[in-house]
Amino acid sequence: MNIISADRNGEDIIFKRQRNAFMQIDSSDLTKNMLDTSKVLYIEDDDGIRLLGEDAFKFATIFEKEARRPMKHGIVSPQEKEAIPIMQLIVERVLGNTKDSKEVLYISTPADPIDVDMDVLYHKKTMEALTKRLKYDARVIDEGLAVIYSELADYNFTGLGVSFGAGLTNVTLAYMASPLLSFSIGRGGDWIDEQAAKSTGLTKERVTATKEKVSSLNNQVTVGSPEGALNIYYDALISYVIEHLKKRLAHITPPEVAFPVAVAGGSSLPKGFFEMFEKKMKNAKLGVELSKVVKAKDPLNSVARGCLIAAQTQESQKPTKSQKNQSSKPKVKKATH
Amino acid sequence: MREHKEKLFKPDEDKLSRRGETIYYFGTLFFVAGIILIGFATASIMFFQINTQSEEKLVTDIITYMGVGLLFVTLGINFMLKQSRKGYLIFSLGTIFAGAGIVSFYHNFETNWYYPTISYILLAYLLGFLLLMGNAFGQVTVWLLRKSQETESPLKTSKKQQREYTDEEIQRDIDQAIKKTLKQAADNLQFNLSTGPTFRVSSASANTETIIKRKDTMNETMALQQTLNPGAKEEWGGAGVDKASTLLSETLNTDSPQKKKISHIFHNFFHKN
Repeated sequence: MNIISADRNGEDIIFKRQRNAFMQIDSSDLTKNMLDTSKVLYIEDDDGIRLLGEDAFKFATIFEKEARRPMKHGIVSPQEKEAIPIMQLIVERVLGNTKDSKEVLYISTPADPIDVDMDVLYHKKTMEALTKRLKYDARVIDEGLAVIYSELADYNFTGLGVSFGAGLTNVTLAYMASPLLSFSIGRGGDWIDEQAAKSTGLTKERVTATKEKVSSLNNQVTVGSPEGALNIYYDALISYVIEHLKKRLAHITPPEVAFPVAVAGGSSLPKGFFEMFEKKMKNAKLGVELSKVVKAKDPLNSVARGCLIAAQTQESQKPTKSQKNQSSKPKVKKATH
Repeated sequence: MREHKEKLFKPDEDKLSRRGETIYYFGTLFFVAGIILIGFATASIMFFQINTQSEEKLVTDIITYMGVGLLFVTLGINFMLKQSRKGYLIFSLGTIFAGAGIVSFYHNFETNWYYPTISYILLAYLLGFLLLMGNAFGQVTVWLLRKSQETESPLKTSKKQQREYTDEEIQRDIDQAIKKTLKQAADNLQFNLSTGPTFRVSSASANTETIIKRKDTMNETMALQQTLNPGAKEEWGGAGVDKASTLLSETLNTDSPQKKKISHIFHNFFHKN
């Protein structure tokens, strides 16, 4: 749902985030004036005006309309003909151009889903093309591995990285930073929103807004409120992910070590989610021993941070040039979606 | 499909069975007749107590039965074996030589059983017998070799196929091949993003993105580098060099704590003075 970039600037990391959504409205001078005054991001062509990013999402929530999404199920949406140009614009704004064509950029992409007949290859290539156009040395990394890079350094990058995203949930099992198993599941935050919207009769955007504001997942909810439905579907999503993980682990023979688990992603933000996940993981009889379940320090930006770590590592491994970069403080970016 | 297959193979099978029936009938007939003749000749030798003083006519008959019996046994064996062209030639020559030997023996034993006639007759019979036996042996060897090739190789292949290509593995191979092809096709793709639809972007939208600035030492980068390249060289002045130096000095410093204490006192004394 979000396109996030991470960039290093001295001792700081700068995260830049834009909601990956748009909404079409009729074009008129009055509307344009109003939008310009409100400093709203939009594009205009013969077909009308399209509000972009966070503003599109806000307008959709206010007017109880559905915001359109350039991405669906974690990949570029085949149903939206304007998906690529809109994403191109959002990516350009989030990343910005690079002066140095050798600047490394890591893009997180989903692994192949195991429960949906879908291929992520075209999406990967599209994202590579969008970023290469901005003169970056673009590379791709699995979303789950990015979580491991960001959260499991204390465990020698060994463990299970789970990213609960909007379209997909990505899982990677890595040993010493090398992925052993990587897959995604065709359910994520969007699935929760859809199910909760169907159950409560609210629009998906309203459910999403409630979900993002929800203080905690617990059993004490008001009758008919979206919180109750959210609680149920969060529980269902976690169980679904664990069941698939169990099946996949049965097909491999991982090293006999206790694996820590790192949880990240925008859909893991609500309070109580981590506790629910931790409890279910400990009760699940997985084929591997689990040592600890770790909550990402910044779940929403964890994948972006992991990509930045990968990019910096890549930069520092470059022969001779690495010394130059170190002295001039390398500027390494990444994008996630 | 199955009927078609049956029709395709039926003529050959009929031909084979017809050949088999005739050839095996004669082969068995000759073989059994030969055994009976040998048995009869052996029994006669014992019954008539044949020796150097025995009647010549009796000796001629019994040895002829014996010779014919041996010839029939070898003929029977040869009939039962599938013969090549060369095989039929040798088979015919062997029969002629052995037959000629027997006939010559029968006519010459009583009246003309002297050197060199004996040698010629024995040589002809022996040559015929050896040709027939050799031919049979050769055909059996060839048949065994062919059979082992025909039976073992398909078995090996089928076993290999069963072991290497289960349904799951075939599906996996197909999936991998498709993925490889897709990847190659995707690698060759050249996206032309400059010719997309043209939009006018709103002017008053400078900073609509959410920006978060956070202090972060990013120690993971060094750790990841070391994990990915455990044998990599440490850079001069890096933390890894300090750590390695400390460990090395601790290892090399073999002085006992007491000795260390004394040297420390001396060191302090001289420095103070």
